[in-house]
Amino acid sequence: MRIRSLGIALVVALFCDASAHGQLATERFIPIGQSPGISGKLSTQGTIVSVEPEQRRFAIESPSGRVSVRLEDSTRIWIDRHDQGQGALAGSFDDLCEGCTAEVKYADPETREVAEWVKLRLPTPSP
Amino acid sequence: MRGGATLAGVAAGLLLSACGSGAPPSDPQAALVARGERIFFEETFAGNGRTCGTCHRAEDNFSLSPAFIATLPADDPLFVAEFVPELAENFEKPELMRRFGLILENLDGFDDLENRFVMRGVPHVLGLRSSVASPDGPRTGWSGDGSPGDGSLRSFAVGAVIQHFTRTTRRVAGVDFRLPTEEELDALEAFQLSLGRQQDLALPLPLRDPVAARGQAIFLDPALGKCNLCHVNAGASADFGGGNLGNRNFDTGVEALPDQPAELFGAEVPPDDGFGTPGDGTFNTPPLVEAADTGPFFHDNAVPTIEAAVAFYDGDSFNSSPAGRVLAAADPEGEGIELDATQIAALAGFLRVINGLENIRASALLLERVAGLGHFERGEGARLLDRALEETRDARDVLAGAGLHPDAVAELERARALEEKALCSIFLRAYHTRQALREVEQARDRLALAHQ
Repeated sequence: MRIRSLGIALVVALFCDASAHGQLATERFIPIGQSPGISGKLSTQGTIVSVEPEQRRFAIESPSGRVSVRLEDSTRIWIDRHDQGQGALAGSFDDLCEGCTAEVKYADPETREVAEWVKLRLPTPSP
Repeated sequence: MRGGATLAGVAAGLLLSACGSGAPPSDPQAALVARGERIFFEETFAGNGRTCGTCHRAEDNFSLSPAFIATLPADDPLFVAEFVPELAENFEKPELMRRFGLILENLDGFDDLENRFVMRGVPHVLGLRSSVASPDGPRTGWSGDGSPGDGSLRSFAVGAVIQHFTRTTRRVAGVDFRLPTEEELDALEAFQLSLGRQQDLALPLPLRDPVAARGQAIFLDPALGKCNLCHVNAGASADFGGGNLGNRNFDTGVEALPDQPAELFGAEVPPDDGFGTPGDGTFNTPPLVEAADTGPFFHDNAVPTIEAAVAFYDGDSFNSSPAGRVLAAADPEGEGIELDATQIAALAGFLRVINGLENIRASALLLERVAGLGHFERGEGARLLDRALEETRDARDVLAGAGLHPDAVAELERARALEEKALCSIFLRAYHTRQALREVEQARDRLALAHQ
């Protein structure tokens, strides 16, 4: 019975759900720095200082130092326009720019190598 | 003069004694819960007028049934989609809301509001302290991934405000709503965790009714009802013999049910694929102690009664589902869940009785608090009596709904009448409250030999 029970547990683990995680559907509506339980804990916020298109990497200078992050196809990118009273737009790697403000949430908070999502605030054009 | 002085002295004595012990000294946690309660029921976050309590109605067990919806006035914020032009399209489906208690959710994103949505019932928020934790992190909402950000219960309100409180479907923070502050999230979490049971039951309970007792035995039997495998102690945790797995998701085949009510109504409802995007078909396990009086049931309000919900597990949709097949594979006879009508009724009867016991527990607690209030604490007394009344009515109705414990039902009805008297009374509130408490306790003692 115990072997059968453990077998059930294993099958359940296979058939049932993956690990719990927060939903991303509403994340685009949350301004930079305000993601609950993420901003300031599991993300880095700062200014983009370099962009490497071929490696799909970019570096952010934050108060805690410089971090380099890689983007994958699954990485969500949003252009935050809340300071303009407008909603976020879907962005792409091409929108990353030196001088942009960015917040990066890591796919793995331990390794901090790949971005799960990036929120960008583009520099305000000078008059 | 002597008589006057004596009269004044008596009056003073009565006044002092009537003050009673007063409210207990406030502590930070109690203050946080009280603040969370105010936010939950009053804070609109600069949105469309809705609050958390708009959908999670205290009078309806923090859920929202079609019967309750039918009592609401046309200008209730629940119906904003019907009177706010900016929300007339793609925000709610009013006919499904009113008829089936279904709320529109854009769980897979907001890029295609017209076509990408699901329709879900409003889950209650009782017993959360023992219902959402898992080794992988908390599981919130019908598919276990309801919260944004870190996925915690604390963060849930942020997603709810974005989805349900917005002034327009553009959903711009700072324009269409404001996001909750960190302090508000703390308070909301504290309040929600304070609701209902603070721990799971310890089955088996010494139930007096033989039908309910048989239902409990079926519930606990891993070869017959198998319920306790996924709903340990009628809660929301799973244990298949290898230890507590915490709150889990399962694909139980609810989406495969034929003749879904919304479809019979002629509505086109997109399929709901559950956890994740794209979904894996699994949905979160809710606790069962509060189930019997919080229907309709399942994520899409597919069935109206607890009896129908129990019968679902005897049907093809469940036994053909991934979860059903796992249970069958683990059965010595290779059988899934097979129950006859009387067994279904017994199981449902068990669930009604434990729900009734929980209602009685909550009512007794509230009545005790009222009995300890001072004479001049009228507002607080009325508030607590209102809540006690709801719990007493719920206990009465959940038992009467299946003809269970008619003697206890009568006592609960007497308790209800006394609570209403207490509400209206100026000088006899405490007396009527204690009488009501006695009736409620007698009813409880008829349901179980010893209470928890």
